[in-house]
Amino acid sequence: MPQPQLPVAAPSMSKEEEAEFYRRRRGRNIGMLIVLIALVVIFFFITMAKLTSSVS
Amino acid sequence: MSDMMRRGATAPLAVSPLQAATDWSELRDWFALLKPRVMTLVVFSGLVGMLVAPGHIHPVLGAVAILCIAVGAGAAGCINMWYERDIDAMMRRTARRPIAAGRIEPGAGLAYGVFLGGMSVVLMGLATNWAAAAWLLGSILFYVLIYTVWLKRRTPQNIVIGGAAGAFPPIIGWVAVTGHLDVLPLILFAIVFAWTPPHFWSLSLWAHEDYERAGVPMLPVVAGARETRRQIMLYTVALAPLALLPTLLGLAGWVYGAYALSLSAGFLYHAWRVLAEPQDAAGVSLRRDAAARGAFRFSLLHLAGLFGALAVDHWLRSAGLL
Repeated sequence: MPQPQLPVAAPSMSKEEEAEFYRRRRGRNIGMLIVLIALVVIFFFITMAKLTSSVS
Repeated sequence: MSDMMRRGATAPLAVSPLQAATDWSELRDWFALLKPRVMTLVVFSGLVGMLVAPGHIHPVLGAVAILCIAVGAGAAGCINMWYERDIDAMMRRTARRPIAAGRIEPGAGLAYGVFLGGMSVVLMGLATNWAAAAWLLGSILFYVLIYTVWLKRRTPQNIVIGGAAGAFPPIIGWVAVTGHLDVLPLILFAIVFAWTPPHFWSLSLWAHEDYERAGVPMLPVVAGARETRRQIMLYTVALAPLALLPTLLGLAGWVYGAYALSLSAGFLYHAWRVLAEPQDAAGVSLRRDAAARGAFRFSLLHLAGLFGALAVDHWLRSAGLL
């Protein structure tokens, strides 16, 4: 069974470019994580606010 | 054969994907794609639209609505930067923008803008009402399709008609609270609409070489600096009665009226300085556009002051202090 592989930088990249590639991708991934967590928190608070509004 | 294949399966990578340090400058670039400086005024005018609207909104839902207005405006700005990356790269003022400078790949920038725009509209609908979401969607589409794609490269009236895009936030804020449109948000729309041309044309007076190089038909490029100075004056004159309209119609009190009167007088003074500035036969400033720079700075203060005064006036009246 084929093993899942981490995507790698383009084959023609130098070592420096490769390091830069991973650094930038990590920054982007952290950004995406922040956005997703923010969305979860926002949806939670919208739900709570709607529930408390309808109860009151 | 590629480098990677030549290195073989055992060759170590320069850095492992899991060990890579984080590049925070890329996160800053993604944030810069949202045009945060433009966002400030958009958020403020949207907030005032909410504050002066009759009715009540849960503070959390109100905060989400403001976030949606900010992100929606940012998404429109991001798509604008994607579409205009060719001319942005030619202009000194915009050449360092992330897509134009090649730091962010165009397709990724577009996807980011479309995702954020879509999310902001859906969130607005879920948090407040779908009328506000429709206005938000309309403002994003107006900025992207009418201003960026259709008008900007075709006509010197780009800023006049396109200015409507930046005038939507007070309407969106108001509709988020009430669910419907009324006279006051329409007046606020008209104020921002009339304010935009003198604001941008002041900027374009000293940035006209940039626009000329990029082939953008801004008024100073097409009609010359002298005509632009005249148009700045005309629009500032038209803006003054609009700014006073809320008080004249009884929709705001004398505190707002006094502020509107003094801010309008200040803006008219700056427009007159632009008109009367020492200039050559073509209308080009002999003083490095000092008057236009002053008018541009004052225009920001003018709009923020008007909306701030309206919010304070509304608060004083609702607290029974006026």
